[in-house]
Amino acid sequence: MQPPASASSALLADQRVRRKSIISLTPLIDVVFILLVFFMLASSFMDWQTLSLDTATPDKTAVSEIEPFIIQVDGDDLSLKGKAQPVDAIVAAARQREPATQTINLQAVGQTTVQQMVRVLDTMSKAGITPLRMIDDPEWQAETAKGIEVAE
Amino acid sequence: MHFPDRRPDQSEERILPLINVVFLLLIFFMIAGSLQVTEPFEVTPPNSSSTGEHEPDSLTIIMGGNNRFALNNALIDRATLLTTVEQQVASQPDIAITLKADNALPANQLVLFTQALNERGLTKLRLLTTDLAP
Repeated sequence: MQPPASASSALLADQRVRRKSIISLTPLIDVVFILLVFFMLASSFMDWQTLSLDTATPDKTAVSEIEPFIIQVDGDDLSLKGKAQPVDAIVAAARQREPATQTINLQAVGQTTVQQMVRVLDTMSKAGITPLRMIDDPEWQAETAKGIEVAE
Repeated sequence: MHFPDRRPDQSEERILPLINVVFLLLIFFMIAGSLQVTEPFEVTPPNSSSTGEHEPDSLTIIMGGNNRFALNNALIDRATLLTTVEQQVASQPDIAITLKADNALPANQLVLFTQALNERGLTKLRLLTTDLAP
């Protein structure tokens, strides 16, 4: 057992002499690993996008002879003038509206979630239908307390 | 007989590829990742195929369930938030605000909130969304 011990101590001494001239690698690796772990844990790779919202409140004072174009969004179902219709039919109706610059109002009915509304907004803007606006459901207020529970 | 002589050199040399890889990973995470800011409560933004670029606005509002609001990552109540927005809009009329709303919120709550912001003079509001997940 004597020869290996002396050999290893000689080896260590040899290493120390050698390492005096260059930077020792082990502390460097320690630091680099710590940095690596920090950046791995702290960074996020979320791909953020934005959707411009038309915040304008519906004009209640201006009386227009044109009937407002309202699409009601109830969960995943869409309806136009109170009649449930498939998405394609709604898109087609929106394309043929008169005048073509008329704002399309998307009305969220009841507990329709933000995600469901965004999906409809996406479908409409993909079909090239603009301008779009979200409007509220006047009857929703009464359900506010329930709505908050659902959201949680 | 050659082993004792070679070992110190080899052990250092063997570590070099490892350091190379670790450095590459480190640089990748430093450049590709953006540092995450801790938010006061968790919010899952809606998925969307919208392509609007996300450039950080000076004001970011987070809207979560249970009527919780945060302005620039600090908890705030709705009334104070609206007053702050009103003051900001008064000093900078073309200010844009990023809104991060939870996808499970009732859309009516979002609509009423955007209308409240509009009544305070805000014209540019951007809803934060994420890429369409499969």
